Parts: sequence; structure tokens; C-alpha cells
Amino acid sequence: MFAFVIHTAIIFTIFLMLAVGCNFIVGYGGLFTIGHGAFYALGAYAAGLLSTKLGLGFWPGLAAGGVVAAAVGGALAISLSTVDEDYFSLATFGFGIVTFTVLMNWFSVTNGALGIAGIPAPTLFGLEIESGVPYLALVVVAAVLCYGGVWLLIRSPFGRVLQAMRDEAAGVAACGRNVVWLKSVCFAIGSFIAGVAGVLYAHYATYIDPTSFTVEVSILSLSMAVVGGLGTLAGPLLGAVVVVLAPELLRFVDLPAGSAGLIRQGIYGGLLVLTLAIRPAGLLGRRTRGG
Amino acid sequence: MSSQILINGIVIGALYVMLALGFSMIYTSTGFFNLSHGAILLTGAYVSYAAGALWGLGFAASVVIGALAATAIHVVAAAGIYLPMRSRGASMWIMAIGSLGFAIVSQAAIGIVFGTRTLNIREGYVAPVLQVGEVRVSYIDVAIIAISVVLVTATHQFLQRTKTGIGIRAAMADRDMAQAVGIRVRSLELLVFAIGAFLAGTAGGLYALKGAIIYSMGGPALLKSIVVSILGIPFGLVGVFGGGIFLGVVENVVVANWSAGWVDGVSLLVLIVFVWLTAVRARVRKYR
Repeated sequence: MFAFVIHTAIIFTIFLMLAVGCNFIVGYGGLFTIGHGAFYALGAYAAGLLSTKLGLGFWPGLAAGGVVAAAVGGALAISLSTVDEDYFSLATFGFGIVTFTVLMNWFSVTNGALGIAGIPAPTLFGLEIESGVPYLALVVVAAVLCYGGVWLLIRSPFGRVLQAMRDEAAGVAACGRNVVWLKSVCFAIGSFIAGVAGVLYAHYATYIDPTSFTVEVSILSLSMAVVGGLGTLAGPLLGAVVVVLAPELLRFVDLPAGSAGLIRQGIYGGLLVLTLAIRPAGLLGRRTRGG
Repeated sequence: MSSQILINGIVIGALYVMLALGFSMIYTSTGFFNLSHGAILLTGAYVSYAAGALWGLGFAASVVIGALAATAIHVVAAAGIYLPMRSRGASMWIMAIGSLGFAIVSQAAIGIVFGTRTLNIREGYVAPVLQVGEVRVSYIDVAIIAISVVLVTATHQFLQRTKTGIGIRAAMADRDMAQAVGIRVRSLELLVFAIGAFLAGTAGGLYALKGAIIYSMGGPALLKSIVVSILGIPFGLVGVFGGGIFLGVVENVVVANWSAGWVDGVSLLVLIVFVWLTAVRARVRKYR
């Protein structure tokens, strides 16, 4: 029971990081991405491959996972800078699916559906960070750092320009700011957080395969950010509680074993519809943003 | 490329065309990506399955019942959920996520009611086959192509020729102006939703006749609708037809030459390249 609560808390915190990164891109940058899961996957696979094939440790892997995700995210945003808003979202959606397909089928590198096994647990000063409470502490520290980083960023001059761009891109461009670069940096930062979340997941699960990185992860990240309220600081946290934690609580209710997963899924969908039908701007949002 | 692969691609493509026409009509008239479009196909397929396999109705009747049930459910969802969301100021993508939530609920409900295994409408039934030279086509495949052509052409004629159809196109072109000259935009939007849902529901019923169905088939179907619509929208009806057949054939070629696993990746890659090329072309025109 206790182990299960800790496990849920770790997974919840990792998803919270995805929501924070997604909220940064969508809520503050106004770039409606539906491919956030791809960068989570990139981080996880970078860490998995570096640690199992090259024997690199956790900390260099953490940096590498984040940097790989950020670089690919930044490059994607630059290459799509000419694409209109709706089509930008579609292209990111496509990118998520292409990434999944590559993970599934590029057998020589990603080992396809068999995945990568035997990713070692991280060490700190020579001591292994065990899965359980110590790992939860590590994940929470990472999430707090990301949250703090986003908080500092949106209060900085960069953050103000970013939000100005979200509201009026042409105006910001007219003031001499490079909008393409701003979008790219914003996307890269959000992807970096997703990449770090991916590394933390890979070292926690010690085994990764493509099924953990389907389109559903992208959509889940987006739902958390949207349900909580795009462009609000506490939004991702509240969104993650509603979308991830609430269906989890059902585990404590007696459900028929065969359809328990489906009932949880149905409740997640129902909560999504209900929240957005009643408060389209999200639970904490004052007005509709993004899209 | 053998002609068998080509004909298989065309049959699947005919289903994609029905999906995509509905999807793109809903997109252009109500302005949002209806991410529950795959769930319409899913509902159509499972109600048809129930009608055919459980209640013992004939093929034609079960497809019609499936399509009507799917239409009814999704028109109610549009009237009760999506359109009110827009009047509360939800943006296009927020509405899209709302419809996705509805799709998730539909999928879970169908999984709970019918189970998560693949189902066949007639266990062990093999449709009679038409043999033309090397190529084998089942009568169900012929029916799929015929129904698709008839329904899509009928929809097109309705939009082009009738007064209501012209009203719909006016509302698509300029919603506010259409409202100002007295067109009942909201009821027309619901009508468009009904037509789109009927097309997708029929595709679902035909899909159930053609082969096995599974509760998770809505997602892939949604993907096809999106890809074909985006490929087709700039070129009108011919584009949707061409896009559907193109995607169906490309998928079959990929499956025949490499592996089924690459199918979605290849079709989405086609989409990204297309979107990107369209944007580049627009950019080039702007600066010329």
C-alpha cells in the first residue's frame, strides 16, 4: 500500500513536469503543441541508450536527455516557423506520431517494441538512490527546480516578451524582436523540461519501451495544462491533480477487475469534457488563451 | 506495384474519403477539429455489429442503423457540449480537447459494453469474391466503393445545388455575414455535424462488414480523417477523393514492401511535409 502511494507520487510528479513544460509552451508562448510526449520520449531514450550502450552515469544522462530534447524542440519550432497556428499544432501532433513510429521500428538503435532494459538506478556521491522514498525526493527536487525556473523565467524580461508575443506576435516583431527565435527558445525550454522528465522516468522504471510514449502522453500533458488553466502558474499542478490523480483514486474502490482500466479512462475523459464545458479557460484561467 | 495492392488501397481509401469529407466539412463550418470523429466511426461500427451479429439483422440494415445511431449521439454532443463551449469563449483547440474527452468516454463505454477483444460481425463469413484477371475483389469491397462514391457525390451536390447547401457554404465562408443576412447559422452547423457524422458512421458500419473491429479503432480512424482532410482541403472535393485514395494506396504499398508498423509514421510524415510545403509556397507568393 505504502509502496503503491510512493509509486503513484513519483509518476504524478513526472507527469506534473510534463504539464509544466507544456504550459510554458502553450500557455506562455502561445504555441499550441500536441507533440509534447515526443520530447519526453527523446529524453528517456537518450538516457536509456547512453547508460546501457555507453555506460554513462545518471547525471551526464540527465543533462544529455534535456539537451537532446531541447535541441530537437528548438529545431522543430524553427523549421515550422512559417506554418500557421492550426497547422503548427497539427505538425507537432504528426511529429509525436512519427517519433513513436521511429522508436517502434528503428530496431537497430531503439530495439523496437522490446524496448531498452537494465537502465541502472542513479547514484549520488557513490550512493545509489533507491526507488521508493529517495527517488521520490529526487523527482520532487527536479520538479520544484523546473517550477521555480519557469516562475523566474516568466517574471524576467524574456518572459514578458514571450507573453507579449503570445498575445500579439506582429506587434512584438514590429518592436524589433526576433519572433522566430523567441518561439524556438520557448519551445526548447518546454522540451528541455519534458526531456528531463523522460530521463527521470527511464531511470525510475529501469525499462522503457515505445508504449510509454504514445500520442496519449502528448494529449495528457496538454489536458493537464488546459484543465488547470493555460498561462497560470498553479494551473499545471491543479490540472495534474484532476487529470492524473483523480482517476487513480478509483483504485481504492472495488471495481470489476476486467473493466477497471476502462472505467478510469472513461472518468478521465468525462472530467475533461466537464471541466472544459463549464470553464473553457480552465479551472484557474481567467480568459481563454492559446490556440 | 501489383494491381491487387492498388485495389486494396482504393477500397480503404474510399472509407477514408467518407471520413475525411465529414471531418473537413465540420472543420470548415464550425471551425474546430472534431477529435471525436474517430469515435463516430467506432460507434457506427459497434452498433452495426450489435445489429448484425447480436440482433441478426441483414448487412444493409445494420449499416444504416449504425450510421443513424452514431449520427444521433454525436449531434447531441455537438448541440450539448461543443457549440455551447464556443459561446462561452472557448478557442478552437479547447473545443478540440473537449471533443477528445468525449471520444475517450465513448471508447471506454464501448470497451466496457462489448469487451476489448476484436470482434467479427459474422464469424467465419467469407464474402463472395469477384475475380478479374489476377485481381480479387470481394462484393463487400465493391459495395464500399459504390456507397462511398454515391454518398460523397450526393453530399457535394447537396452543398452545390440546394438552397440549404448554399446557406451552409455561405456560413463557411463568412459566419458573421451569413448571420447578418438572416441565415440560421447554428442550425446549419448542426446539420453539417449530422451529415459529417452520418458519413463517418456509415464508414464505421462498412468497416465492421469488411473485417474485424476493436474498441481502440477510433484513434487510427481520426488520424486518417485529419491527414486526408488536410491534404484535400486546398483542392476541394477532388482533393479529398484524391487524398483518401492516395493515402490508402501509400499505406498498402508501405505494408506490402516494409512493415505495417511504419504506416502511421509514413502517413504523418506525408502530412508534415505537405503542411510545410504549403506554408513555404504561401511565403514565396507573399514575397514575390
